[in-house]
Amino acid sequence: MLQALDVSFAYSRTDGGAGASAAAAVPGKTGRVVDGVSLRVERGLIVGLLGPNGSGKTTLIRLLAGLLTPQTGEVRLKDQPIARMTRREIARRLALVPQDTQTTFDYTVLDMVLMGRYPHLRTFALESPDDVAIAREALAATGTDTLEYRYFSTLSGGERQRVVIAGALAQASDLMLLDEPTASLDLAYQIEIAGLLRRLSRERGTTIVLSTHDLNLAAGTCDRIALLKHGCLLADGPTAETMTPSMIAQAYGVTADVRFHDQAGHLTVTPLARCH
Amino acid sequence: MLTLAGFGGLALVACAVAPLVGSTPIDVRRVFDRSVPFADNVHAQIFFLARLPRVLAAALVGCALALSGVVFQALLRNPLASPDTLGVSAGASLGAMLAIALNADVRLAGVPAVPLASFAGSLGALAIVYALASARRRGSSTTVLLLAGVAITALLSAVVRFVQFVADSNQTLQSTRWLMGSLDVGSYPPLVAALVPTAAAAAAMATLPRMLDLVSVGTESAAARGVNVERAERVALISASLATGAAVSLAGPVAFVGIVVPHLVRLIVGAHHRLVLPAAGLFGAAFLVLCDLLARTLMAPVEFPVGVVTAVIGGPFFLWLLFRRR
Repeated sequence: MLQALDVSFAYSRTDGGAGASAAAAVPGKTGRVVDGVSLRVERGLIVGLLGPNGSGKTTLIRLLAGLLTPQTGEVRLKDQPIARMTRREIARRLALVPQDTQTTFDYTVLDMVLMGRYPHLRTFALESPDDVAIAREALAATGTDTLEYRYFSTLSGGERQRVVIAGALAQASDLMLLDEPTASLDLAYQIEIAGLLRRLSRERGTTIVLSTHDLNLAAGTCDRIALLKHGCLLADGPTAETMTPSMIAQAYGVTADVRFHDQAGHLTVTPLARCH
Repeated sequence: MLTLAGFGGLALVACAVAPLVGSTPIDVRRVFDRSVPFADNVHAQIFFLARLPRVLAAALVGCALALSGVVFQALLRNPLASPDTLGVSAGASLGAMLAIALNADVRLAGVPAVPLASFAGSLGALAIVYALASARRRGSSTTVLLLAGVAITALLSAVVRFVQFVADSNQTLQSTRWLMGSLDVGSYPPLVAALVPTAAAAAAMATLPRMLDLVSVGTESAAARGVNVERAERVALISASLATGAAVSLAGPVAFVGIVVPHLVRLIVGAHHRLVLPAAGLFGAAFLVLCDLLARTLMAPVEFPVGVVTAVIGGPFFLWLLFRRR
């Protein structure tokens, strides 16, 4: 479905904003934020990208989404090199959900989801009834159909994130990349979003790649986990195999207790102390 | 669609009625009376030579400032951005001040030196801002743009004040008048000179509405949805600056139109830029024509600068908007 082949990326000095600060956070001599990462995302799976701050999660997501071009290696989307596709071609096959979405002006929930139809529309074309139907279907799939005419800015954090995910579904329901989708949400919304992602994967076969700091969320949601450190891939495999005390110690420098939780039905991680 | 037609109607009625009203009453039938030669027809002279250019200038300037206000607010993702934010108005002012101070007596196709110099000044400011923006191309550059705009405005305003200070008193009076904003253009050539860049800018903006929707929500998500963000930002920045430069070169820096009109229009038509842009253009034209009508008639026969009227209406509205949002 989506594949990174020996991908490396370093921000140049003229790159502003988040990129420059991410680069500064990486101590490596090469300045590579992502360093020789190969990753295969199989159809229908939920893949979690884990790793400490500055490990290159966000940069890897941007590389996988074709928003950044790797200096070496390549990203392939459905066996086509993403570098040779136009932005619109990529956007029709792959949707990205940013960490937090704020609107400057008062768009309604339906407007926000319809914006996902952008790569399918010609410059001067209006949204057709088909586009509206697709948007409504995406609202229903994310349980936000009752919010259709509310202003996006008046929604709660969890509702907002569900609407943004609905927009991603309306854009490309096959493949979705999410950058820390629960980072700014409280506990109830975290569980809500995790449940939604599992349901989308199960019922619609949506392939999902998400980055997160929340090990328990990843353990409960992801089929596979890729662990990053200093831009390199530390481990990549089924959740049960990668979510081990030794891997967590290697990636985060933290000793942790990992055990299967019967009621939750998945592994849980309890961090204990910093390793020395 | 109906609302847009309403705004169009309002603009047309304002442009049609405004030239008939003024300190000297004129008769419509006499204005269009073909039997009297134009040279003897005082009514026609007042209508066509004194008032119509002024009303058309108001419509053009109002339209251009409102359009560029909409584009700047979306581009900078800041509802308080205006055509002045990026220093384009300050550049235009400096150009005009220099032309006034140096007593420049150049004409190009009937356009006098002051509007020419101010348009050149606005393009110069745009070039500086654009160079700064491209120097920090990737990553989020809007904060950099905003701050650079503030710095450039402060710098250019200081130079404007210095030029005013060293100029002789007659020129200082003239330049102060210009800085207050006035639509008394007096003839048609400057109008045409401002119309051309404004029309080009409006045509470029016509390709932007949906991109502005997406960019106003966030550049990264816009890019992930297939928008060529760099190109969209370039087209938006250049077209909005061109329209601002044209408007300021014609009328001086008329305050608040570019910030108040977009917000007023959004209250009525919602957030979609494919409605906000045309509605703001039309309403901006009507708004400035009516403001200028007040400026001409409130203390007739004294005509005070239209910039005073727009600031008196725009300032309180702006405050209301600010506190309504909290």
